[in-house]
Amino acid sequence: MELGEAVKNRLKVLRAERDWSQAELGGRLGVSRQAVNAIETGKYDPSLPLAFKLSRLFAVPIEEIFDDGFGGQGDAR
Amino acid sequence: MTASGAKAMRDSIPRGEGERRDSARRRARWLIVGGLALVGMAPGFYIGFQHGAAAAQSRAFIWSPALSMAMAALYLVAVIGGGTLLNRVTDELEKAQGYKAASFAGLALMIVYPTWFLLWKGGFVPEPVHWMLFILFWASLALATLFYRFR
Repeated sequence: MELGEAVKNRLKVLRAERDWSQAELGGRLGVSRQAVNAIETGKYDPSLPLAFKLSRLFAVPIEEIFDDGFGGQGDAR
Repeated sequence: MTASGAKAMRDSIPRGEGERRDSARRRARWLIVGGLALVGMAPGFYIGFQHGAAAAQSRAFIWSPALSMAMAALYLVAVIGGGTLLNRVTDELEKAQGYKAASFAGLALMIVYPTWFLLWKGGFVPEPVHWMLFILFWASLALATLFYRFR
């Protein structure tokens, strides 16, 4: 993955599993429906606090929502 | 947080509550923007009806000290107060778009004003007009905001 490339995510799948609309998820997170849509389509990468909020809301680790393309290679050097 | 704790947090919000919050946030945002637009239009109409449209531009027409101070105070209250209120109902995506749009508008001003000034000093163009530069900034800001929001 190149620097600046959007991080892939499973937000749409997790949202669909709960049968939530984008507005429903946005309201629960305190962001707009447009923000949820932008994250789902990879146009916007959420801040760390928002990513943690998502993680808590869906009760899954952040790595299960977002994929930076390094597949669990934790060493960033 | 444990999985059961997270589930409790998720379930503590009834279904549909998220959509209600989203609608409330959008409504609050439009109310603030609408209120600011009214505050912006009211002085314009007042000056227009009292003194004619030329009063806003004419160098010969001088406002009374009370009127100019009232206008300046109203503007500062609207911009600072409205900006603070708007900030409370603006999410991180909207803020990021706002920062990018403001950078674009600032860049437009940085390009146009010095170029205009330098050409004016050489006698090529008329003297820079401050209200035109102000409008240029706001038009650039509006166009960039629309671009980043709907691209």
